Amino acid sequence: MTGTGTLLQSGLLPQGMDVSFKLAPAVLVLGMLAIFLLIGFVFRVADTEDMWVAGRSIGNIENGMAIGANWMSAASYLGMAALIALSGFYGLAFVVGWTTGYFILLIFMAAQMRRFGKYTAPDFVGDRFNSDTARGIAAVTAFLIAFVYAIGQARGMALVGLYIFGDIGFAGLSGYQAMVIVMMAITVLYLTLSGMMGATKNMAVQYVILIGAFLAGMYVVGWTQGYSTVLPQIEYGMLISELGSEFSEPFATASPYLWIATCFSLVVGTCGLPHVLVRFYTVENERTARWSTVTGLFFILLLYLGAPAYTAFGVRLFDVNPNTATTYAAEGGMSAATADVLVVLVVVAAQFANLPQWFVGFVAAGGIAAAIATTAGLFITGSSAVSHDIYVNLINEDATQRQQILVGRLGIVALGVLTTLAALDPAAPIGALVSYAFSLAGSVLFPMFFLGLWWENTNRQGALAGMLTGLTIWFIPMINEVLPTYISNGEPYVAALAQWLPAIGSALVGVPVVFAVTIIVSVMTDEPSLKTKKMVRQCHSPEPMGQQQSAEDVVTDGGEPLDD
Amino acid sequence: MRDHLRVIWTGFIAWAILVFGPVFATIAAPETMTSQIPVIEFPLHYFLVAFCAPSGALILSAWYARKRDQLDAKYGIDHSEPTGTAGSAEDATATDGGVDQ
Repeated sequence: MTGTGTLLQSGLLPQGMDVSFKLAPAVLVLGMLAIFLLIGFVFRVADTEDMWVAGRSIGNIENGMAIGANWMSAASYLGMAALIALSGFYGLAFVVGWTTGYFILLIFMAAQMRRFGKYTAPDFVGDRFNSDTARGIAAVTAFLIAFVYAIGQARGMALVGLYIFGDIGFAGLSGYQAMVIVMMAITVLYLTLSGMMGATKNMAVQYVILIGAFLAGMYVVGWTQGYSTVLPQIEYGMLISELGSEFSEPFATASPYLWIATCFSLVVGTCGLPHVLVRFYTVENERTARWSTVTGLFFILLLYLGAPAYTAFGVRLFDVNPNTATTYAAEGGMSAATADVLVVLVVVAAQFANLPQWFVGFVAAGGIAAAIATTAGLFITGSSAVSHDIYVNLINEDATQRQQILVGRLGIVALGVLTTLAALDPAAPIGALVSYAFSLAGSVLFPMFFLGLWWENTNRQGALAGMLTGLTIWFIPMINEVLPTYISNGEPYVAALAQWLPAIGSALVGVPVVFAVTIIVSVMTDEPSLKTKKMVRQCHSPEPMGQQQSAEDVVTDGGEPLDD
Repeated sequence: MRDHLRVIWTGFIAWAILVFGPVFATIAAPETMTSQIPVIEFPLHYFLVAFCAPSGALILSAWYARKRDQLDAKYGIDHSEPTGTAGSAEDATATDGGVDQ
């Protein structure tokens, strides 16, 4: 497999990746999946409180790990290295956007959301704005986010599975497609079994596996190749000058505007993603919500600070590997074809470094753990949008716990089937798919959360107008840029629009506009009721609240404390 | 509450400079920003963005969570034993954000 343009299997497989059954890695991965199923079974759930918010009992370190595992998906573990190698300095917008957003989440929303104390993100929107329509829009948005986001995970899992188990193509499907189906089946099975309690317990385990595998991979590659010793996160600086200017030259592949738009979108997206927010509903109290954000960010940085280092090692190994027959600099950065190597760069780097097969398998297993943990979080929030927000709140108000859990499980299966179908032939790379989900969350949900929590006069009309505006602003570039890749030549319909309202960073325009629309409409219409205002105030009150209490409970039952 | 807001806005401004400062600086003065840092040999802009921004956000987060704990201690708020009913403390707080300051 030499030459830059040669690709295996419908262009999805990177050259130089050895697809065959590998015994030791296969045993490792199967063992790992068995552990996930076992933990899921042990902590399986019987009621909705456990199903959606893990009984609100999760502690600081455990939730920090869950935040980390939930967050770091195939896009972080596998896709980010590709982004950094492909786009040079622009790739760092993803490193920054996907980490620093947690600070904004922490100071403006984490503890306040915990005090509001509901089950899902659409719950917050519906109850805060007293509107089933608003709840419905938020639920559909949450479902859409879970779906778009999960496609990339399915692809990542399948690529790694293919590397480990070889080509198991059946029933006329390619090896990659067969692997998508197998991996998604396992994920859905374990999720329907375990619910949020099992998923959260599993996330701690998955975090340990994924970070262990990533760090081991990075340290061993760096050490054996003589690139680094104890601090690869800093030592890779010495490699940069050897990699060609494309690796670090600012704004070579993307304009400063795109850099800022992307970074901004990822930051506000972080604060608007339902599967991230729900992590704050699962903790025991607001102080835990705060500190677990700090621990969570620390756990995330263990991977994110290492990602550029690992990428630099991978690119260097790519340069010196005789089989790739080209170099990074000769390619002027990375061409689209060679870049495919980098989709699984983390795994391929270990292979290029001639490390033992079981070790490469261990690194690959980390990728699967990352993808499964994130898919778990996404599917649970997506299905809770269906079961809790749409079914219980809009269709059948008297639903029993059994019915709710049944509909929830059906939701997970439905998401699994949809994602599997979409991942069989994905049209966009992992990183891009995930970023569209961030733009959506940032434009539609983040302004509702922020204004809903911080400005008590935000009302129903304002929220509805704002969310519809946000959805529109998100759809315009999706139609302009993403639709053509499916139905025509892939060029955007209006180039100027693609430049100033890029799909990947549309929240830079979306957020200010949605804020303005929401505020103007809220001011022009009636103020919300006193009860709603009290709920908002309760979110900021310094008074401790009971573990199972929500702001609404306090406002309704404990009228006493609100002596304003 | 007012103490808390001051902490929040201080943190937010520090965060904005940390995250977007290096990028704007690189746009304004590309020559200076891409020069190599001695010893670790990073181009300055690359190091500020890839390393300093994420780690800075972590430090800010820890700083905020600690500040918030100190504020809780200052006003005698204890999260370790949730009260169940929110109205038990003697100086029941007005939740409009003015009284506890």
